[in-house]
Amino acid sequence: MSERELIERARKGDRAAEREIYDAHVDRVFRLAYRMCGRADLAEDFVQETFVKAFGALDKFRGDAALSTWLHSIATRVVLNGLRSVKRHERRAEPLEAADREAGGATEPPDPDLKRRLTAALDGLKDEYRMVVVMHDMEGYTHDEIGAALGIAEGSSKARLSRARAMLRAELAPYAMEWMR
Amino acid sequence: MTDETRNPTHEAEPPDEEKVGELLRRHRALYHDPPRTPREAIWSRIEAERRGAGGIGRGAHVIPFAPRNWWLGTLAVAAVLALGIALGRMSLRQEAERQGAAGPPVASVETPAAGRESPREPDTGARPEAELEPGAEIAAPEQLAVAPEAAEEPEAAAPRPSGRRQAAPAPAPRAEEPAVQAPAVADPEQLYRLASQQMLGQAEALLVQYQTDRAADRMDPAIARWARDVLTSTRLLLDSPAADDPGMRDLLEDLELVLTQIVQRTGETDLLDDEMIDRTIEDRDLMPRLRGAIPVGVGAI
Repeated sequence: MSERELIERARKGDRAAEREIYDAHVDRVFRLAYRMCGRADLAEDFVQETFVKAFGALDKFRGDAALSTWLHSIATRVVLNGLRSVKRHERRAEPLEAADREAGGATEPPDPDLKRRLTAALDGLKDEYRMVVVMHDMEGYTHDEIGAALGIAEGSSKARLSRARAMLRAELAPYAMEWMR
Repeated sequence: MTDETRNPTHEAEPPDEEKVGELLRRHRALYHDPPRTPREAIWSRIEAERRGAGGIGRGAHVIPFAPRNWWLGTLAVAAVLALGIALGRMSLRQEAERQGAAGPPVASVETPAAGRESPREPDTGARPEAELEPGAEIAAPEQLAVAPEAAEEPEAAAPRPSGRRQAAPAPAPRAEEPAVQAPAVADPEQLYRLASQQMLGQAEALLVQYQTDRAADRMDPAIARWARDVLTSTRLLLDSPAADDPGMRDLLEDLELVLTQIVQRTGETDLLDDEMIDRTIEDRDLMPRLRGAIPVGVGAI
């Protein structure tokens, strides 16, 4: 069955068609959501919200782009909005955490652990940049797909990736050669 | 390479951009490596949400509390306010009678604020920074509205400053004679304080619900109606002696602003409206101030 037929059936309330659409796309959406938040509970919330919104708005899907592109445009918006909210809450807890760190005394020595360095460097990026890095370098999306999902031009996606990598380069440089071996 | 990325202390030559990309691809398992998709669990939640059963599925864990019977709370606040006003009027009458029998007539409710022992600071509309901190000024529950001991003092029912809406009458007479005691029937000040706390609990629940919906990129259409009711209570309190405390009044005025924004929010998700509301909540530190102003154990009804 073609994607168009599947969508048509889903629009008419065919649950099997909805499930088929879900099965075809959920893994990619979940992977992206998880990469961005690093928490299973949040990722599940984001995926749930993405598909609820998508099924609710299927009538508005004109079919100009692939269903996957449309779904990803919803998913990226849900994830970025969700992360913004989570970070707002975290910011409120920050003063206490900072006080704890200060009470701890000495500054941390350079951390040679790749996982921690990589995580810290990526987490230090703005979400809009991190999204492009995650999509392109970790999940293998093309710039065309990223641009469509984020509602930006393909060239803007490339520019964001380039700037994000430049920022990461400075962070990861001390250990990069070792890790590249 | 840009200057900002060049670091002479680096032992190794920084990799070029492509190398960074290669490094990320090679080590992608180290960064938030996704587990297997819990397909069935998520599907169940999607179905539950779409059916309306269970509302938002397991995602409900992000909502601390979202009372669906919020109208009970606003009803309770309104009832308490009405009771406070009624008691205030009653005590006015009683004192007038007592004063009429014992000596000179009691001072009018319109008596200027000059007679107050603790004159409030002029209202500039600006909120002092100290009030941002929970625990400071408005944060202490006992400082909300009028403190219990203040209610026993003759000047407790001071007149509201000019410019305040005069919709609600003062609950107790403005008595300048120290000999005049408030009636023992009930304490209107305590009622106002209770109403304030309940209303603040409602407001907190509403804003938490709003932020949760916002995070989930959806908005319960009922939230505008809820906000309208809480806004009504807020305005009633602003017109009552509960707002005589400067910190409390600032909090109520900030609440009035954000609630008005929520009420006026367009039906469809309007990002501009939402961003403005977010900014108001954040810039005015509303959530911490609200939480600081609500004593433990008092929440939305």
